[in-house]
Amino acid sequence: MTIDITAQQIGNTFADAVERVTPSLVAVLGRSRLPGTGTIWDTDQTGAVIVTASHVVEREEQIAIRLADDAEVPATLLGRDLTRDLAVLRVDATDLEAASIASVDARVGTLTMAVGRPFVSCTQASFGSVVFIGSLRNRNPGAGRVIHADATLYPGFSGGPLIDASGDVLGINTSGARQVGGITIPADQVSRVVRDIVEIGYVRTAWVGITLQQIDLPDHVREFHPDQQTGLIVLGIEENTPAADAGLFVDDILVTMDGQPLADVTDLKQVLCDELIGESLTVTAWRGDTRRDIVVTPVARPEQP
Amino acid sequence: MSSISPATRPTPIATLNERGETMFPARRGLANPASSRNSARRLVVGIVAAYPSMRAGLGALVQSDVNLTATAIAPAALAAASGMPALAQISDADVILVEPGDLGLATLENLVGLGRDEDVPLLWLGTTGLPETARTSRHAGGVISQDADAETVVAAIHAVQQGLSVFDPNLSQIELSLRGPSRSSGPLAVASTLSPREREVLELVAAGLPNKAIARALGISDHTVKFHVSSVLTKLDAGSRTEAVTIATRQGILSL
Repeated sequence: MTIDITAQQIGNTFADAVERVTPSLVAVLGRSRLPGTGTIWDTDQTGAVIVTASHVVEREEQIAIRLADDAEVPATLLGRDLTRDLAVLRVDATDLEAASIASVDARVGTLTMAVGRPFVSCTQASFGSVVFIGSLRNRNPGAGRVIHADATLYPGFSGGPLIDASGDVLGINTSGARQVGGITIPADQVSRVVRDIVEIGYVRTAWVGITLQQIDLPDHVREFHPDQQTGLIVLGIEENTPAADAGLFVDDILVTMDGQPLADVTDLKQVLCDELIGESLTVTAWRGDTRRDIVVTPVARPEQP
Repeated sequence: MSSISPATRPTPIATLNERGETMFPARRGLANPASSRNSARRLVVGIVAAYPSMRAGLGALVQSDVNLTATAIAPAALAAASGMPALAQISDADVILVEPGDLGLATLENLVGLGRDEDVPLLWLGTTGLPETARTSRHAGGVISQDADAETVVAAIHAVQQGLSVFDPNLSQIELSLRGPSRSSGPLAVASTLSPREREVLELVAAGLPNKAIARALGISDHTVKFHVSSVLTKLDAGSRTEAVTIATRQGILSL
């Protein structure tokens, strides 16, 4: 196979891509330190919906965005997705341009740029490729997947987009998940978060109705799960919940769900993403000396009051 | 089990055998094994309590169920110095019912060790003097209230004999501390110090609602919400809303 592209062409392609996404970038003034970046996700007749990283919006009030022409516009916080570190803002400004969302998913190896504009004066960009796509902790494909690209997230890049060679948005970058460095929340997940927050005020999540705590796996359980040091012990089960229906009991030790190891409570949180509402998931649970595979079907977390 | 009523409850007469152990007469009506489906071996419940009168009382209570036979175990027989003559009694028992009040710590610890070694579940009546080893042992058993009625005690005995864990919800603090080693510190300390309103606010913070929306949902002022949020952050020792939610989820305060 002959590939006849010059380095200059590649460079120009990416410079064009940055230029293309630039009108959809804003600075988000929501904390006392350096502003973060916001990405204009959607527009209508009266205003625009802007996505940023939740950790950039420390204040609940007096939030503003700064547009490309240096104009400062007050913004309202519509809601947050604390699991994905996203926040959704609304501004009553017209003539804003929503970013173009990529129609295909990022793939490992896709060439990308992370783009940010914490300062008004200039857009910043860094180059990299998609290193892997997987969950935050386990790097497993499947539920709760995020994009890991090696484009550097410079200060203030959180809330900005990861774009492909044509300037389409692959996802939203955040450095909020400290334990793994910067990550990118894929665009399809961002779109669902935006839709839920705009329509119902919060993000729908899959829910089974249990409270848990991390526990060191007993020796007889470790024998069956040599790669895992810890599991989750069921502390409480709410009535009329998927966990109760599935026959889980207080004191059961959960080791995996849907094939994903449950070493920490946040692992379960990531498994239970909204896509899994109504799906049958197999939980490996230990009750005393007995291993059981229990099928649990998450529901949407009951509507908040 | 639920068929027990005071009218049909037998009145066993406790006697002391030559070794000073309290013996309970077998239940009338069970002499003929063919007479009922209960012809299967009755469960033997070892009873450990500080005083003979307590052992007798518990024996009577246990034998209110026709499927249970009680055998009293004198605490002195659990002393290591005495060579633990109770060993045989314990290994013969299906369940040990323990009233830990006034029993020495050494006696209780020996009992926990024996129960574990002999694989006999221990059912504790109340938590007075419950040794640490009972809290950290992940061996089957349970804790019910000292004031539990006969029906509850009998149900709990059957449950732990089946390998289940039984906890009286009113003893939830013990319930948690019995659940073996945990990495996070003091879940209950935190959970119990959050006020009901703070918990409500925390649930809505977890759902990602801004203060204004929380205020609307709960019908309180923005200012009050701010106050509750900052109080929750302080109590959970969290630097941000995200951290508060993570901590609360890890400590079993928020459900998943």
